[in-house]
Amino acid sequence: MKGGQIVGGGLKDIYIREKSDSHMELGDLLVAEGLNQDYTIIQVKDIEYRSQIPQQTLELSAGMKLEGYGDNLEVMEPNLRNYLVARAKSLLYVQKNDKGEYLTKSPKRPPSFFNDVQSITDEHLGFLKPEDTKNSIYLGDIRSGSTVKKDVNVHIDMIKSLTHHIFIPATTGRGKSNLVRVMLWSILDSEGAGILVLDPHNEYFGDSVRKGLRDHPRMGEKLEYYSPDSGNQDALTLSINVKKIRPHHFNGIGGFSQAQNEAMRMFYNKYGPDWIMEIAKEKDNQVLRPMGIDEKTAKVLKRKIETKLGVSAIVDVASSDEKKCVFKSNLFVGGESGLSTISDIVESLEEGKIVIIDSSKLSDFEELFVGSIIASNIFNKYKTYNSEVLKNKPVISIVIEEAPRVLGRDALESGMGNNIYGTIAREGRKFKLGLIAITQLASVIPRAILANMNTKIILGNEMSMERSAIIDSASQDLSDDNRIIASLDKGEAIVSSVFTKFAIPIYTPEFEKFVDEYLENYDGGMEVEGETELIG
Amino acid sequence: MGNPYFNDENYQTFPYHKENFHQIRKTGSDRKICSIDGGNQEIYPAPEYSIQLNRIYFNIYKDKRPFPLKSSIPQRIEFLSLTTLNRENRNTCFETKYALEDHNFIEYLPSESDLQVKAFEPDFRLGNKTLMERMASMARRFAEWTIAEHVIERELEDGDIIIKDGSLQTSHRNENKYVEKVFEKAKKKGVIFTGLSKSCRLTTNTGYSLIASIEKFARENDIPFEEWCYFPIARSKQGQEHKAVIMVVKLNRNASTSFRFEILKDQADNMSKKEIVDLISSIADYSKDITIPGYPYGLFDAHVWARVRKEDLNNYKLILDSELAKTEFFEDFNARIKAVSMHDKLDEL
Repeated sequence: MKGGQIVGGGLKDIYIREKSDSHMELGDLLVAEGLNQDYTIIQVKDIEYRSQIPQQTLELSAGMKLEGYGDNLEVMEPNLRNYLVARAKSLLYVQKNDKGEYLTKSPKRPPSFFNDVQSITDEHLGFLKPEDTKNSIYLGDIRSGSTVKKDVNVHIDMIKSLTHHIFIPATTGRGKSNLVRVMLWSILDSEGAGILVLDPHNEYFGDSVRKGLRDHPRMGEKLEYYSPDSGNQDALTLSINVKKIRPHHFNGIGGFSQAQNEAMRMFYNKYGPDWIMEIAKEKDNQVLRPMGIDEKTAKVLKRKIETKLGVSAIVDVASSDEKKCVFKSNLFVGGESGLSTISDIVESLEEGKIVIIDSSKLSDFEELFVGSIIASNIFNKYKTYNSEVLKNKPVISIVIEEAPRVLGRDALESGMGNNIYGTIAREGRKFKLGLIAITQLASVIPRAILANMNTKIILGNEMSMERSAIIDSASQDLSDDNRIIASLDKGEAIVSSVFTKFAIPIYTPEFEKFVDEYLENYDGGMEVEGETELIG
Repeated sequence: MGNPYFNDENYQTFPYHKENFHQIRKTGSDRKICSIDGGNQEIYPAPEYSIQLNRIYFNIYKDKRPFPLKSSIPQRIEFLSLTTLNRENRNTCFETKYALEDHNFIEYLPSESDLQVKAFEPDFRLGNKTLMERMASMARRFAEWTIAEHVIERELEDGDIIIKDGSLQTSHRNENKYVEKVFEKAKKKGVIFTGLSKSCRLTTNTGYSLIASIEKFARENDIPFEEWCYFPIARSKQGQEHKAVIMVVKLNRNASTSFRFEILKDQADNMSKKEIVDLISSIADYSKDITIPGYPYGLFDAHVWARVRKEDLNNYKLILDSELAKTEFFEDFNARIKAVSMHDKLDEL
């Protein structure tokens, strides 16, 4: 049991002398009990050495020991005279009435001076206990410092959090993929959300060696997996007929200039679904001039279509005057194949399924472009629904890794038009569309977008600039959490959300173990055992 | 350099000799060591009275850890005292009264009647201020003895040690009465009564500092011990008011100085050299703290808790001011203080 006593400070900085065997840690949640069934939850923000012995004496003593003179010197009563003082912050004031109901408030005054503080217990967190955890996303267990309270699970309201976007900033190796896998697993248990996962590392579905979402009991009814790799036996083939591509799918993606975008629209107006193939076939000036397209622009466009989509044209030997298109990639195809892929995916999402797109073998552009096509289709579809219809539709969220590719300042302010991801970030909430944006570089995402991400699951980050960007846009005041964020270990995170009363420290269990435990307890449609806490 | 010198025929002194250095050795002693110290400071100065804040503190250590008290004796006693100067006819008398926040403390304090003393001609040579300070410190000084007596009675056993800050010499009228009592108690229970002085004004017959001369003697004679005790230096003759064997001790090789150390004469006389060295070695074992090597940690701790600082006085001043302001005496009281308080006022500017 950790413990200490308040010895100074104020509401923002409460100084606590630590009891010698307490081993307080950065981020520890502590409780200062009041006299009227009330208590204040405080969190350790920093810990420093203090001593009753003057600094000069300490330094001299260390020098004597180091230089071999101090073998007959010691510190008498070391526990009393040398100690640690934790700097903590009040997070929440909680009062419990006689009926056992909790009243929570933002703390307006510090706990009493000289008050004892102790570790938080499950009972202290009772105010978070939800009435219902159905349709929520499991994030992990409450964590105090590095102590995980396995009996207090943390969930967020699925509909609210997905429509208001989830932002997951972290550096490599801090467990973001693990977190997303755990979140998606719990979404598979719920109803009312369709998730499009662009999976650049092909790590979510799983295979015979590694566990993944495919191990979920409801996988058959709730999960779809697409891969451009035709050899992947587990996946549906991801091939998109170029006839299903529209010029606006390129908005902000692929580095097309305004003139090129304009030209694409003109081609589409003239040739309809065949517009890409017509660009590939290369038109002469006689055709281009009436459309108002410069010959050079058309040539660049043709080259770009070839390099980005793999669509080119060769002379048709059967008809020497005509050209025919060839499709170099398995992803963008012609003929009759791939005509229903996009609509199938959109339909699955509308049915509340998780659709994983294995983009591990796709280029950066291809991945974002496929996402753009699907997202645009969903956006346009949801936009047309009236509010009554929309009410019964599932919320749809897109998991996008390396989010700055589409949400970064460069991507949004380059003059190449707003991409669909940016549009969803700004307007998606109105149409039950959201993003789960994952990134290492929060600082390159504009503040306006970050502010729209109303739930942030902050994992460890050693880069000071990135931490500042996250802290500045968090839903709670995390100005004292700089060191805490830097010191978060793998799996440890802080959930800062407009739907939570304070920034909640969590630990997300290792996916494999979590799945093993889940499957062990699975009885055909129940939830994971344990006292559950819903935030939001 | 000379030899130890006491300007008093009641002491038997011993010339310096190499053989009198005794090496302090490691001991596996499990004796309890009690340290006691007191402090007092004047809250309000006036020519004819002095209000003092007094504190007495003791601690007990065993096996290098604080030893929990068995009895309800308070470890720190704090009280206010008012010492007044009364002149009637040709007699000048000092009188001290207590003001106790906790009335249970009275049990541990000397009787107020013993704090009433007449001043004689030699006393006035000290000057008014020094004389008042001396008389006003009696309460604290006597209380150190009375509390020591209670501690010996209730907390210590045969073989345990009590170290009082300062010398075992008495310097006030009526003090001897308390000293006798506490020494008797110590002898009866077998608790070794000692005193260690933070400062020592003793000299040699050539006017050299006693402490410095012994340290010099040790250097010049290549005394091989890093930690030592030197005795005998002097012992008081039988029946005198200073009942002590005086020695000098260097309790840690990193100590910046050695200290005057005394053992109750009646006890020291019945101890072998080895027993005395063992006793001092036990104290040396507690004199390794990095803050003040060579000074017993218990005494350091007692000093810290017993000292009265200026900040402590301010709190009391505030309370006293507000209480006195409610009374009819305040105006008169204020006028008297002003007579001597200009020094503090100037310090504030």
